[in-house]
Amino acid sequence: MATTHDAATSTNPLGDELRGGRTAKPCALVIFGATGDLTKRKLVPSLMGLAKDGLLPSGFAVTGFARRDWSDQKFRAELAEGVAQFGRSDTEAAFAAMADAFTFHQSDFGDAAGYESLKQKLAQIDRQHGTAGNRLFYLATPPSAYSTILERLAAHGLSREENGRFARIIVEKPFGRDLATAVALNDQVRQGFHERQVFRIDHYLGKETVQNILALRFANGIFEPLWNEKFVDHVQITVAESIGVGSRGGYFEESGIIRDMIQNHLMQVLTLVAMEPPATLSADGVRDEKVKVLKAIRSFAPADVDRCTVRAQYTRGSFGGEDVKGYREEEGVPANSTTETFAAARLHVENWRWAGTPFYLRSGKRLPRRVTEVAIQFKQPPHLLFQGGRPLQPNVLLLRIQPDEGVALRFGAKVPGPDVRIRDVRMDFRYGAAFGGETADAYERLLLDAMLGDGTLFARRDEVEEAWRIVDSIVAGWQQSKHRPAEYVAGTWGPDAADKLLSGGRQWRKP
Amino acid sequence: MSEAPALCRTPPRAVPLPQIPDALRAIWRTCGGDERSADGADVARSLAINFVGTAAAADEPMLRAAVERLQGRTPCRAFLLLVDDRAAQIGAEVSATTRLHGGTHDIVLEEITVRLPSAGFERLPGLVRPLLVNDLPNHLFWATAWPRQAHHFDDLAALCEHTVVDTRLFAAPALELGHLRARRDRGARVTDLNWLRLRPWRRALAEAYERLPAAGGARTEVRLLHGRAALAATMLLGEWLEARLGARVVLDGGGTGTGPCPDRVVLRTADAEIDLQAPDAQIVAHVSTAAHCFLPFQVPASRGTDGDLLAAAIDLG
Ligand SMILES: NC(=O)c1ccc[n+]([C@@H]2O[C@H](COP(=O)([O-])OP(=O)(O)OC[C@H]3O[C@@H](n4cnc5c(N)ncnc54)[C@H](OP(=O)(O)O)[C@@H]3O)[C@@H](O)[C@H]2O)c1
Repeated sequence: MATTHDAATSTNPLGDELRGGRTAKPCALVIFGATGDLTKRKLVPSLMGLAKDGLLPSGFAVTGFARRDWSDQKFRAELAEGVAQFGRSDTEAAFAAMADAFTFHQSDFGDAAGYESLKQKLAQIDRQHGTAGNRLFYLATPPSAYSTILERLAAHGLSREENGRFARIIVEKPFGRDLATAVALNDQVRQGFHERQVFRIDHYLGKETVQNILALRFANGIFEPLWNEKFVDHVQITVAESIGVGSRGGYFEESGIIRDMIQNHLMQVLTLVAMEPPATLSADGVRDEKVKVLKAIRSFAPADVDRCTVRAQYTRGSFGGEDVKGYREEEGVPANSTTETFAAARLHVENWRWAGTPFYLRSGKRLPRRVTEVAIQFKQPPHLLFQGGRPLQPNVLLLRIQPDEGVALRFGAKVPGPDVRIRDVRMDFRYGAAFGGETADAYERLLLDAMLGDGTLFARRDEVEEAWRIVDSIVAGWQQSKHRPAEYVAGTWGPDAADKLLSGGRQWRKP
Repeated sequence: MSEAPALCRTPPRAVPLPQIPDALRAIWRTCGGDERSADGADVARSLAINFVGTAAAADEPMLRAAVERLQGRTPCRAFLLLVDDRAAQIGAEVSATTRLHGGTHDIVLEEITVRLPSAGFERLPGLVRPLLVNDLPNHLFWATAWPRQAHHFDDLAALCEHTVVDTRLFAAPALELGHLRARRDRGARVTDLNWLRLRPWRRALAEAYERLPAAGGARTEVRLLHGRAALAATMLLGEWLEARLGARVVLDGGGTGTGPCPDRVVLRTADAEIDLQAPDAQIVAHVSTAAHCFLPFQVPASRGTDGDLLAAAIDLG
């Protein structure tokens, strides 16, 4: 490093051209697991989306770390193919223009010599590409490899930040498979990296529409006064997938929908919906408030789990005109599996704002549509003037996260004519209509934020662990339960038991 | 990634000026009426801004291309005001563009094209004002030279919260950049496409500075080589470098380039040199310091078409 100019410490008199436009500082990205699917499908196409939009620093280079005997040329050819297949329009040209900045580093994760040679390679990249000693490591590997890589990075001094240079690490989910493993992983991460150096990716947080939950709540004066137990009857959060487990049966068996979706994506969305306004939009300002929401959700006692949650598996059915297998008939799934492909839960955020307002979460595979939405259902007016005092449909504010991203409000309007009859109508705002143009993939935003050192859209250690605490208590209840998971026919909205979670005339939406 | 949505434009219809509002309503019906379109899809109107664009008639294709691009990002009611001294009187036509999106036809562009002789300019504010859609931000795009009568600019600008100009089209930038500065000083919000066009150059300079040791008050000399069409942009870049770096800037008009940006920027301090040139679509930057010579790096020289720049300017405004 001796000959590398220490650019990171200089103050750039033109720097606001870069920072103002959210251009990151020069850096080298090292992708562990660079021959894998994630790198080809998501990471490099997203980097090229950033390049196309002029958001990558010119001092930028990527080193792929994996075991296969690939040359730089082979690595670049694979990535070019990935960009052509999965990238946004015109990203192929962006890759062609900077392909030389991608190099391959062959080594086993466990091989100490591989890290020593990586260090030398990075120093050379600094000299050639002006990456200024800044490092971003991406763990795009099976979770079983995390521990070895973390340990080696620390042992070879690659996690150290000195002289204003940064060393950051991006960790892919899953962050553990329960609280104990998450704590162990986080402890290990901490041996080499400070929390501010760690970026735990939950790609849901990179979605524009998830970020818009904060904008909708805190940039508008009309919603926040209603956003509490006085006016909100309940909240439903749905993440539905129409596909089954397909060839990932073996992987899914290990996790189930509660670990795969609820512990991360649904809990993250829940915190954004329920949190208090942060004092600032700084990373810790936002995450402090999010974690308070999780802390306000009590762990379930085993006896309550059957009453407050539902788990189920899909059975053979007909989907889109085709017969589809049941979960226990899928490849890699044992016939006596009890892994849930659907889960629903009733949670209470026990704080001043939400006391008594249930939050219903559900997620499943082989549901009728792929949809993610948050529905805020309001209470009925205190006195029913219309329709002979019969209750009307309640008002619903719908935040649609995918597809057809947007916001809709359901309310009653008078049907034209001499009688006073009320009908439900919908006021609909769709992002695609109001803001045209191509939207960037969630990974683009998250990669850029990690380069900028902005952790707002990443899960902090305490968030991850609090979410596991809640999920662990549900899983423990299921393990002790005498009941097998319920069943639902593929292509339906889940088992009948899920309806029983909702009381007082409430119903699940069929989005 | 999302597929490009299908666009459909109604044929332009000539209308007498007083009937423009009725003609716009009729277009609604052509697109499918208040509720449903002919093919049964819902119809919605998703306008986000009023856009007032003025250009010489000869530049109509440029203005139309810019509006087309803008509509993809910001649905709008667009007034295209085309000055044509061959036109005997003021004439107008209207049309609309819909986008099929998730089973709904969105009206994303309502175009009102007005052709007028220069003498008709005085009537434009009175024509446009009542046709602006309520409660939407209004943006003016002055896509032509600085006018002989400054009040033509000021009267249209007064209708709008934000004005976009393109100083590349100014005939005497040394004088006319000052007119703009005066309006900014009085609080007008003005964005210059030429300044946005320079963004890759500013960015390349900033990136090059990332590689330099702390400047520490070192004397900085800059030479900007430019062709004729790049005078305004080069002046803007020079002013910026003077203000930011306290640099001594020399403009050299001997360049052969025909584009709107400089041909070359050479910046020297006591112990470093930055040399930027854009032989083709890339700005190539050579950076060397007393201790080190870096590999050249590249930055795309263009941030897209004028339409892309306009859409970015509207976002900024
Ligand atoms: N794929 C996705 O779309 C996706 C989405 C979200 C999250 N994720 C998460 O991202 C991570 C990576 O997923 P993936 O699908 O890309 O995995 P993958 O296709 O299985 O790739 C694994 C990578 O790790 C490398 N590797 C494994 N053991 C190694 C060792 N001992 N030494 C050196 N290299 C080794 C492999 O290199 P060789 O092939 O050279 O052996 C390969 O590059 C996982 O944690 C996954 O849960 C993936």
